[in-house]
Amino acid sequence: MKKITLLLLVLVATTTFAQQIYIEGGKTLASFDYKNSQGVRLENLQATPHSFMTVGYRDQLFIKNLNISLGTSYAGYGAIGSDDTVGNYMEWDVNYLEFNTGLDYRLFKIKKAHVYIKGTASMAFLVQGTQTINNMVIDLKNQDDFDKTVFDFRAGFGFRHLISENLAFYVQYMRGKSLKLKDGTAVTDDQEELRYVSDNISFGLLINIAKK
Amino acid sequence: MKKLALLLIFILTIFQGISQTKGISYQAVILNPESQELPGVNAEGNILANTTVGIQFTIIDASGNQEYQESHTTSTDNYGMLNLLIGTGNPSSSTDFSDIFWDGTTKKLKVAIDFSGGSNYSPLSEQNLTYMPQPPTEQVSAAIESNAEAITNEITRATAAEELNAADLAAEVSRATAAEEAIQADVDANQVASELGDATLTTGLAAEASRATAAEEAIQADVDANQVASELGDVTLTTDLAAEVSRATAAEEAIQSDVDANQTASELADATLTTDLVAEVSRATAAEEAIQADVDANQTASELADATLTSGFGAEVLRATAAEEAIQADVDANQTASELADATLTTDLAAEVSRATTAEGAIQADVDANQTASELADATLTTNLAAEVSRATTAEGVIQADVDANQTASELADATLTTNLAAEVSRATTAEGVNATAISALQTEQITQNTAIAANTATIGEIKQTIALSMPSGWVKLDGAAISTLTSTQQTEAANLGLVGNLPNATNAYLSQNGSALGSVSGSNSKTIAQNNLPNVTLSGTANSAGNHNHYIYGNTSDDLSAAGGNSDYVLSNNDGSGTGEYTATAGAHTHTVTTSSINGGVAQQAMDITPSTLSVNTYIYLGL
Repeated sequence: MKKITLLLLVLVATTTFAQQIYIEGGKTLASFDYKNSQGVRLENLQATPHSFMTVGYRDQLFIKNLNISLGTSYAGYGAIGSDDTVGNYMEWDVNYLEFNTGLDYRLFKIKKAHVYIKGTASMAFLVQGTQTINNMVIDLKNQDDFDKTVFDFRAGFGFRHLISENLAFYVQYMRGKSLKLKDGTAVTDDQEELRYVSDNISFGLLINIAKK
Repeated sequence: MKKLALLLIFILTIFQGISQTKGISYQAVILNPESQELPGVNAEGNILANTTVGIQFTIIDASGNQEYQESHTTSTDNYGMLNLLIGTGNPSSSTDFSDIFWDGTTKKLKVAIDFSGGSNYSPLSEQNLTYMPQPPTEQVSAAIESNAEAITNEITRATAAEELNAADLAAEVSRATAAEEAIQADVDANQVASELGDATLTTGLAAEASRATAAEEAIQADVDANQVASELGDVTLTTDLAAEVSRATAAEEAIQSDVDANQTASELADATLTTDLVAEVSRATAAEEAIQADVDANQTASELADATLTSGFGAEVLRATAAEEAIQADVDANQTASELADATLTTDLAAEVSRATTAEGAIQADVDANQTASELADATLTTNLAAEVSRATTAEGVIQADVDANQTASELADATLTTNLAAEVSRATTAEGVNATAISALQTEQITQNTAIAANTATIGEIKQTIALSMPSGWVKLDGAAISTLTSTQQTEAANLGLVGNLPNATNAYLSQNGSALGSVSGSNSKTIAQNNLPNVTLSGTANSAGNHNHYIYGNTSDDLSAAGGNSDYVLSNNDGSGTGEYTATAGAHTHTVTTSSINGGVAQQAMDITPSTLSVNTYIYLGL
C-alpha cells in the first residue's frame, strides 16, 4: 500500500515536466455488485448516473504508439434499489478522490483521427458519501464498507482527433470493476461481497506541453 | 451490527368491545428482529411479512396473578399485520375466557411471541387493558328497557308487598288487640270467676255460719259432748283453709310466673321481630298461642282449683255432716257437756267468727293483690304491645322510606332516560335538519349543474322543443324575432348559420329535413285541391232527347220506305239481304249537352286544413351566450 501510494505521488509530482496534460470529464453509470452474508443478491438494485472529472499527465512509453498517463480524478459512484417484500427504498451516493495510471495503445490512424485502446488502474479514497434508507439519510464516512481504499480497474477504447499541433480532443468509453470493498470470511461463513461496477463515457482535451 | 440486532416492535392495538362476539380484538404489526443486510448500514425495523408466528396472550389481574392465558398460531399478511381475537385461542390456563371477572380493577395484557411459529415465547409487551366507553347497543337498550320494566314490576311488587305488609300489620294489630281483649276478657272472666268463687265461698261460709249457727243452736245441747270433735273439725277446716290459701297463692305465683314468662317471651319476640317481621309475627303468634294456652291453663287451673275448693268444701260439708251425724249420735250423750260447753263454745264461736272474718279479709286481700298483679301484668302487656306497635310502625316507616327511595331513584332514572332520549331525539332532529338542508343544497347544486351541463353540452344551432317555461341562457325562442335583439355572440352565431334579419318563426311549423334552405320556413298547414289532385273519376249521365236536329241516312236503292204503325213517318228497312244495315251519315258533327249535379253541393271551394294532431311546445335554438 505504501509503495503504491509513493509511486503515485512521484508520478503526480512529475506532472510539471510532462509532455502532455489532459483534462477529461464525463458521466459514470455506476452500480454495485453485492451479495449479502447468505450469498444472496438484492433483487432490485439499479445503476445511477454520476459525474467525474480527471486531470493528468500523458507521455510516450517505450514505443511510439504506447503511452502512459497519470492522473487524479474526482469521481462519483452509487446505486439505487428497493425491496418490495419489506417495502424499503435505498440509495447510495459516494464520491472518491482517485489516483490512476493507465496505458493506451493506438491501433490505427486515419489522417488526424486516432483510434486507441486503453486500460487504467486506480486507487480511490472516500471523500464524501451518503446512504438513504427510506426517509433516513446516513453518513457513510467512517463506515467500514465504503470508507476504505478502493482499487479499480478499467478497460476501454477511444477516438482522438488532432485539432492542432498542440491540441487534440478525444472521446472514450471505459468499463471497469473494483476489487472487493467488503470481503466475507470463511471462518464465519460470511459470503458478503461488495464491488463497484462502472461504465464511463468521457470527453477530454490533450494539450501538448513539450517543446520541440 | 448483526450482533446488535434490535427488536423494535411497534404495536398498534385496538381493543373494542363487540357485543356480538365475546373477545378482545388485537391487531399488531410485527417487525422482523433481523435487519436487512445492505451495503453500508443495514436496514432495521422491517416488517415480518407472510410468516407464521406464535402469539401468547396472558391477562393478569390487579394483584399480578395470571387470570387467563391462551395461545395462537397465525401468519402475518403482506404488511406484517396480524389480527386476532383474544378469547378464541387455545387456552393454556385452567380458566376459560368467560371466567375472567371484569370487576373494573386494573388488568394487564401480557403478549409474548415466537417468531418461528412455535411455543418458545419471548416477551413482547405488557400493558394495561383500558376500558372504552361505548354507545348503548341494541342489546343494552333492550336491557335498559327490560330493566325499566323490571323496575316497574319491582315497584308494583314492593307496593303490593307493602300493602300486603300493611294489611298483615293491621291484621296483626287487630289480631293482637283481639288477643289482648281476649286476654283481658279471660282476666276479667278469671276475676269474675274469682269474685264468684269468693262470693260462693262467702256465701258458703255465710251458709256454713248460718248452718253452723243452726247446728250450734241444734247442737248447743250436744256441744259439750262434741266439743273435742268440733275443735278437731275446726282445726281441719283451718288447715283446709290454709291449704286453700296456699294453693291460691301458688296459683297466683304461677300466673305471675306465666305473666313474667310471657313478658320475657314478648321482649324476646320484640327483639326477634326487629330482625325478621315475619318470624316475629310467627313467633308472636306462637307466643300468643302459648300465652293463650297458659291463660287457658290458668283458667283451667283456676277452674280446677275452684272445683277442688268446691269439692273440698263439699267434702268438708259431707265430713261436717258426717261429723254432725256422729256428733248428733253423741249429742244425747254429750248434751249435758254441750250445754256446759255452750258458754265456752259461744266464746269460741265468736273467736272463730272473728278468725274466719280475719281469714276472709286476708283472702280478700290476697284476691285484691292478685287482681292488682293481673292489672299490672295487663298494663305491662299493654305497654309492651304499644312499644311493639310503635316499633312496627317505625319499621314500616323505614320500609316505606326505602320503597319511596327506590321509587324516587326509579323516577330519577326514568327522568334521566327521558332526558337522554329527548336529547337524542333533539340531536337526531337537528342532524336530520342539517342533512335536509345539505340535501336541499345538493339538489339545488345538482339542478344548477344539470342546467350548466345542459347548456354546456348543447351545440350551436341545436334545436330543442320543450314545454318548459324558460330555458337556460343561450337558448333563443324561434318566434321570428329580429336577430338584432340578440347578443352580439348570438348574432354572430346566427349569421354563421345563415340566418339573416329575423329568426325563423317556428309557430305552427314542423321540423323536417326537406332539402330547403336551413332555417327557412316553407309550406302551409292548409291545402286547396287542384284538379290534378282529384282522383280519376268517370262521370256518367243521360242525354236529354229534347231538341230536333238532322241526320243523313245512308241506304241502298233496294231499300224501301214503308209506313210503320200507320204513322206518317216512314221506316227505312233493309230488304236486299246484304250489307250491315242502314245508318246515318257521320257528317254534320254536333254536340249534346250533358248536365250533372255539382259534386260539392254547389258551394264555393275552401282550403283544407291538413294540420295533424298537435302537441303545443315552444321551439328554441341554441346560439350560445
